[in-house]
Amino acid sequence: MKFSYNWLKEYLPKLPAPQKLADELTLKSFEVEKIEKVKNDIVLDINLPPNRFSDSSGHLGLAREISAVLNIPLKLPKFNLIEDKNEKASNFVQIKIQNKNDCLRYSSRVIFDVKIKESPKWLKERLESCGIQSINNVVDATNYIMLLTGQPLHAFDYDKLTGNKIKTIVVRRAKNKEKITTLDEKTFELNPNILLIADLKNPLAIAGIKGGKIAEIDNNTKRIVLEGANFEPALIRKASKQLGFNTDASLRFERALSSILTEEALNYVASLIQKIAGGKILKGIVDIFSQKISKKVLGFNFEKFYHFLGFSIDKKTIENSFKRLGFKIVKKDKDNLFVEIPFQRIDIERFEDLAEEILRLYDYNKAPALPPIGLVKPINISENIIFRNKIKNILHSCGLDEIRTYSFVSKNDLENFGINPQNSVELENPISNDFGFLQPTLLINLIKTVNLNLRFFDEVRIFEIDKTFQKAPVKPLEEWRIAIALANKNKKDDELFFELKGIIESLAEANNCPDIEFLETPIKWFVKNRSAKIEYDNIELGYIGQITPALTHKYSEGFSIVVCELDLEKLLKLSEEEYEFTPLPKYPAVIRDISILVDWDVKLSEILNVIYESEPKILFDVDLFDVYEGKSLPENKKSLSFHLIFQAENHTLTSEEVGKSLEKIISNLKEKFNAEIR
Amino acid sequence: MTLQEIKQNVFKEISEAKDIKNLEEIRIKYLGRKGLLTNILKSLKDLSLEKRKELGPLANELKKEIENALKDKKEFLITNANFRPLDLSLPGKKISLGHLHPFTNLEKQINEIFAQMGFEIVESNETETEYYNFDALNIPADHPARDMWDTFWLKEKYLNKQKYLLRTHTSPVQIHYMEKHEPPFRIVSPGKVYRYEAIDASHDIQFHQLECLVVDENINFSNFKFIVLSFFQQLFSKEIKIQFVPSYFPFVEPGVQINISCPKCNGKGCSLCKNSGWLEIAGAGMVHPKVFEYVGYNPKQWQGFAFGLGLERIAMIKYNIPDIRLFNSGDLRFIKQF
Repeated sequence: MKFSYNWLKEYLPKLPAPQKLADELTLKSFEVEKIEKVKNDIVLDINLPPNRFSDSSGHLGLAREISAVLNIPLKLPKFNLIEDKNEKASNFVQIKIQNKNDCLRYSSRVIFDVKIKESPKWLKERLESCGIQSINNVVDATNYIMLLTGQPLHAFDYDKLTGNKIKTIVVRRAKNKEKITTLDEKTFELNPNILLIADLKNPLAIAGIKGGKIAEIDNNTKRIVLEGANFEPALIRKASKQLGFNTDASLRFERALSSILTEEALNYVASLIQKIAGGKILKGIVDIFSQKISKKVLGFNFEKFYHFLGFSIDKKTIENSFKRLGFKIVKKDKDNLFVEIPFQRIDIERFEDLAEEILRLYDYNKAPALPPIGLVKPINISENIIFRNKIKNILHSCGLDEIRTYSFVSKNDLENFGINPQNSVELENPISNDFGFLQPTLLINLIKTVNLNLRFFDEVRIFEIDKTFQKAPVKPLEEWRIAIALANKNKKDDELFFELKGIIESLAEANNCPDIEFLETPIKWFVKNRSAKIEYDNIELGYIGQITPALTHKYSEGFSIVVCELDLEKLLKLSEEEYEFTPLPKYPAVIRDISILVDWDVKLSEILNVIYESEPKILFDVDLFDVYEGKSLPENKKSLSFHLIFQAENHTLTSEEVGKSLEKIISNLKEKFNAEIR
Repeated sequence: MTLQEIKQNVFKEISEAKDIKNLEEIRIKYLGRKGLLTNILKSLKDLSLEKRKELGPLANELKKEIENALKDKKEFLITNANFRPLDLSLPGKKISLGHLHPFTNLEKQINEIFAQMGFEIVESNETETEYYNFDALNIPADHPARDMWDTFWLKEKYLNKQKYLLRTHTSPVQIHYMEKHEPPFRIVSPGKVYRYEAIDASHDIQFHQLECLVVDENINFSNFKFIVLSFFQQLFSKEIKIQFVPSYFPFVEPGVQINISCPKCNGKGCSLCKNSGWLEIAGAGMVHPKVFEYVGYNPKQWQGFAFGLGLERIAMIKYNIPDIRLFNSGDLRFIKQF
């Protein structure tokens, strides 16, 4: 909000230079965002918090605040109000408020015989400093007094209102589809959520937002009706949002103003208009003040204050601060002050608000920093955070880079992945179509990231740990997942697949579930026969697969990408199981190696099954140590070499026992797979 | 080979041995289970008594001499180990480690600092109801303070009829935690938050915050300053100073903005702090009594403070990163620097 330095200086003769003023204000009151030169004036752009509009959105209020925080004298402006002795305003205007809750106060003055003309230079300059365009003397006067007091005002042309002598002003809700054209020639279609100022026939203004064309002040205007009102803030805010229309008035009304302001502002504006436009001010204010406000007195207990601060401030200083702020001390005793709050300070409601006033005047930065006492208890760190860090360290050690991406995906992405957008969490107001949905899988942004990086690197090995989102009946379902992607322009996709499988196996082993299973399962994103569900103990942890060329081509030139996605919380649960020690073997193991030649499409898992089933007793472990397909072998054959480890729990094995067992294994392999033993 | 021949060869071989492995080969050749001298010793029993008496002591003597020679040579080799000099300027063999996102280390560091000060570390949802994100934090519907948080709303309504949104700050954690726990406590909660904003070098629609909340009977304003100061001094350096300036957040009273002295120029003024010497770093304040009322605490009994800070901002200051968009970019040219 813009404030004129020259204007403030009028009321504060000892006002420090602009930069010093800005620094002091920022430290003790409000942040000064900018200091700007406008013609012969300096303009301070102040970030006023919403709860201080009532007392500080006018130059007078800000001057009061500055006087308090800098402890410099304040010289109030004088407005001389000369009312006509005979004609009473109430004989010419009456006010009807349809619903008291919509309009807390409506005050009006009437001035006859004004002469509309250009404003004097000083007035134009003040408005210009504050970014308001000059219109004519009467309109400028209303704006000037708003900038002075914070109270928005409006002037209607009395003769343009419906009715003979007594004009009726009605504060009512708009009818459905009722229309109004505002002063700036915009036409709005209204509805009952919007409050109107109307006469008996026409809407005159959108209450608290903008005046209408119908009763506009023009060069022929002689008689005017002035409005100073107080509207329900939420109502004005909703209307302004709905119409997409912000004004200096709506900005103030929606932040709530004290209803005390209207009277003073009307007196000031009438006096000013008389001075610059002549005319006679009819006697009295026509005032509907349905919810009168009473004096607010708050208690301030010193002990409580010291308990709140952790240090003490001298009682005299406290009392003095209240006085500087214009808070009257109406009663005091040894332990307490009783403070009367000025009407316009609607932000002061309780003890803590008073504490803030004293503390900021004292200076927050003079407060000491003292270590807290009490509270010794073991701390809890979210196990999910600890687990995520553990996973990150493992994957980092596997040579993967950690990325973070947006949680959003587009409708197009979902369709590319064959996910029905209906089942995904959609935003009501996305920033763009690219960010329309919350990600149901991490893979979409992961694949995009792989492709982005393949422009700069031949090899991309990345992972992300993040949340996915799904629709669920009660509330959106959030799930932590781990996703990994490998791509390499110079490696075979087979090799990439097994590299990723190896990483997952290491990850599983490090989390106490070494025997995870990869169950070949068709998944639509992945190349046929190159995708598997990952399970442990019948719990599905996730999946692995090679992205189909059709899908990668949608995002890039289509290098092969192998990915996996795992459920972090399921893995976390499994990893929590305690390790259990197995006694070390008492009797020595016997190791025999075999190499077999089988058809290339025979699966290792099938061979292992046959081996284990052949010898259920003393075969302790089977370890594949070589796979070979190549020139020296017949076509469509592969050679597999195993260490077979035999061991018994209760005796040392003899070579006959092992030999017998091995024979059985070999004969079964020959029988089942037509295997050739090498 | 005769004893004589063995004697002629073995000592020569031992003296020429280059290393321990070589020496062990010589031992096996002569003294191993099937060694040359062992064979002679084994064959003694087949000889005549006379021959045995003649050769036996000689062979045993030789065995001892060989053993001694081996032992001496071994000791010599160990003490006079000789290696070929290496070209140490050759590159090391690459063992590839990945790179963690700069946040991961920063989050870890921040969590450790708070854990050491006795803070619990908790987490909460990113999709949130209007009630937790706003109302219970004393930001009612149609309150102009809501303009401070531009919000992404979710389209669907859920069973509880609440309007859902993407949390605009980590402060809803305060309400969730207090609803489930009784004071006293100290918590921090890091997490992702979202704002409906135009993306540029210093604004993103998705970023990270850390929420801190302390509630106790005696927690006061000076303690609040102490914790804030200790945190920033541990995060940056002992030289850091803090400044509180008035600010407004409906869920605290008094509300302050925390500035820290610029760690780059030590408050002297530089391009990072726009020559002010200070950097805005967090919003904070003493917990508003209305917030205590919302969660059913007695505001007459409990006092506390809360603050929220942006991790992106801290990372940008700490690592000299000029553009916030890099964090979510997935660009490995960025990630690989950490």
